[in-house]
Amino acid sequence: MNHALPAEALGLAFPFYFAFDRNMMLVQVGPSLAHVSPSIEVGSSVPEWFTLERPSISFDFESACDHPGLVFLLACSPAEGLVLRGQMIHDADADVVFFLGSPKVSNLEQLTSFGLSLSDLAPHDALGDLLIALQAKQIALSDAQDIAGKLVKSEARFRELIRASTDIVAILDADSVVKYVSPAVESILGISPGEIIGNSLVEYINEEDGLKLNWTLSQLVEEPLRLHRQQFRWRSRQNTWVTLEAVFRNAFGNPHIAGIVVNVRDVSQKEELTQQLLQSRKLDVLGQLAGGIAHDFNNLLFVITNYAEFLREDTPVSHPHHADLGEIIKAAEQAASLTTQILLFSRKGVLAVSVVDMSVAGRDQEEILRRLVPPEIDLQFQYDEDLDHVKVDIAQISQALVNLVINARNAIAESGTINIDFENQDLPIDTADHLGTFLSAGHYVVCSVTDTGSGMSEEVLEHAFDPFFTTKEIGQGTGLGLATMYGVVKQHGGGVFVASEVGRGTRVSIWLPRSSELLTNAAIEAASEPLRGGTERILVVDDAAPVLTLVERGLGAHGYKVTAEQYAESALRRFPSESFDLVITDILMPGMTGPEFAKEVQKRAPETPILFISAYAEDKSLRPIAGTKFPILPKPFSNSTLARWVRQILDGKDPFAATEQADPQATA
Amino acid sequence: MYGLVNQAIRGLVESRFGEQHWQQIRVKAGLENDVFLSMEPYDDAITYNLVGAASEILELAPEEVLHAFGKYWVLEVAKKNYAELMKAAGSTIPEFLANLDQLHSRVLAIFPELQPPSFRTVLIEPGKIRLYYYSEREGLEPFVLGLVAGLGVFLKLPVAVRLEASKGEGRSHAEFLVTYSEKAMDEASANEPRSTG
Repeated sequence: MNHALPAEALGLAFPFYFAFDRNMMLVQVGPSLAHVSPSIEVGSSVPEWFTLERPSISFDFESACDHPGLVFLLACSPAEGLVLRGQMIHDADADVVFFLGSPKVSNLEQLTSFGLSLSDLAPHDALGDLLIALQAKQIALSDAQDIAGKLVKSEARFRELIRASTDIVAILDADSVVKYVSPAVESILGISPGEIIGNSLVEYINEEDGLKLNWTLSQLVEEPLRLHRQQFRWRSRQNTWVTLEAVFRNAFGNPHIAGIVVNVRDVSQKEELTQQLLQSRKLDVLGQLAGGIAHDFNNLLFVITNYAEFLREDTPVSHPHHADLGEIIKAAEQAASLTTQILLFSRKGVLAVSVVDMSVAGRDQEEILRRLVPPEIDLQFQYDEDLDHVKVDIAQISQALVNLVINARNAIAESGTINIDFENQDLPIDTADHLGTFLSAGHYVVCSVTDTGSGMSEEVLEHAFDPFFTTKEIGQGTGLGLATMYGVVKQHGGGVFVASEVGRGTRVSIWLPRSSELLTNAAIEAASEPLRGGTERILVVDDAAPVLTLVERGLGAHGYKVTAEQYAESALRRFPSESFDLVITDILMPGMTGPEFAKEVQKRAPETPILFISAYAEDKSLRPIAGTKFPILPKPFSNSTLARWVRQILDGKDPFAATEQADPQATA
Repeated sequence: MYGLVNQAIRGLVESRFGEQHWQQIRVKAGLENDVFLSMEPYDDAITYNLVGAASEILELAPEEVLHAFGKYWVLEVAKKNYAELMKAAGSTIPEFLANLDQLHSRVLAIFPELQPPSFRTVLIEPGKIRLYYYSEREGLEPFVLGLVAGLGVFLKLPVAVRLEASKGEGRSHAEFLVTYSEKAMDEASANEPRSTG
């Protein structure tokens, strides 16, 4: 059989072609049909492999010849579902019909399901291109879905990151109009993002800060590489100012932002703590200053008191000047009481406990407490008869009382009353105080401060003893008073009870355990024994010359052989060649301090007792002394007091112990 | 270069070395956006930069990187995303390699801006094929080696491939020698489900 086109060429152009004769027997088969089934071979019957689906004519040689131009669809039985699409062409010379067509498939999967591959299609066959294009479209779609999924995930991640941030992130335009703000604005400032977006930031902040902000923004635009930091005050919904710290960055060049990025943090608490720290430091400095003044004042009072005493001793009672001198001494003692309170206020930290009568301590405080309270407020004191003793650091307890009175005063708007009561109380069972500290059942001395002020709500009461908690504006209170007071009371084994009602007032009670020990208050004088002198040798060291003179004179009057030295170094040089029965030394001296001097004396003459005197019981000097056996007699003291102490010590007795209960107000 | 090639680089680095390493490589390659669309054309420089950066960061020779990418592409990317295309390309080594050129030419018809390579195969003897690789790009022979090695694993047919001559040694194309097991291929072919006649 001759063909215009070689079979190989025909097979290349139409890999799925076949040719059949009048008997419907295959005379040629294209190479790809063999891939469908090797059984489709020359000599086999066409109807055996193919069924005519379209057109609706009989499938025979004549019909095939009679319908040129029609598109034939032939189902291929060896591959279920495979349909070939093509045309029938009658070769009159060879009297055969050629079917020229290709598989009807819509995707690659379908192609391969028939065991076929792309190489089974003619290279020029657009079907192959179409199938690949369809696959590429599917891949692109799959890509897009994948990318969209990642984008959603990424966006969700960054959204949650912003949401979880405790700082506010915002974007402003050049006119400070908010274009975006993170959800944190709601929790920090109580305003929703929707409320603020579109408005200028300046509308919400303090006017003065707003002017600064405008300047900051203008700088940002001019100097885009710099970061600008600024604090500003934001008016909250509660009409209070919230202090915010912001960092601004120019991101106009970033097409994704095109604005100013602002990171904002609430620094109100930090600001408040800073103010409170400053306030606390101011108080420290004030305390030190006051302590310093009180020290010098005490030395002067010592001189006034003792010289007045000397004069009064030499003045007959009937003489009118005797009474006058008594007034001078009384005034000096009142002044000494004041300086004592100032010293108590400036001293901190170290507990120097002694057994005290709280009624005496309270009365000592009355003067200074009255000065804290304006005349519109009536301040009343009440003391139980036979008030029990307590073992306390009177300076610390006094300061605690001062704190309570200050609080009470501040709670009273215009006029009112503050009652300070000292009473004995019994606790029948173990009881928790206001902060949960348990007080054992027993006997207590209670100091209560009751005011008719504004009172505290439950919420305020709950935090009243928290350090730095205050209901006052910044600068008006440290928030440390009650916290410190509670710490002091707790240190003494005591507790605090509070009762308060808004609009009616507050009662704060300090409970201190009763002490059964004898009084050790240095202000108590034992008056039953007559004053005795002696002939012992006493070394006195004090850098204040008037004090030295007075002590030398006073003790000399009682028969003692007194050696006076103004400096510890020169006093020390007397050892060991000279011996003394007692060494009296000031504490705070230039060069070698009293404690250092005492230590050196102990090395040289370990048996020699030492008595400290001091007008300024400041921490730093007291610390080495605290806990030692050396007694401290605070200035100013009277000549008789000194003489009494000296005699006690020389007799080997504890100068703190009174020989019998004496009138607390007795003085020599 | 196709986006699918850059995707393969990213996928390999992330799956074997972790996202952190990918980020380091991306930054080193100066790539801001690391999202690639498979059938989109990208500047060849991106691919070359990524390979260079990966080589440095992962402390591997560039050839090792390219080989690993080629194998990874067939076994992970193509298998997952272009399974049908792979199946349609052929089920034996000779068939697949023979179809490579047609496959690339059909892709060119659809994406005329792409510059796919050309391939020609010559059967030396049963089990041995010479593969000719024509490309305007330089230095991608190791990638082809990886692709062919991966193809063997994909078709579950033992195959060995070696570079016989590189482009550039006065040659316009590279030549590879691919050897495979005819017996294994025949067995696999026999076991493959086909239409019955």
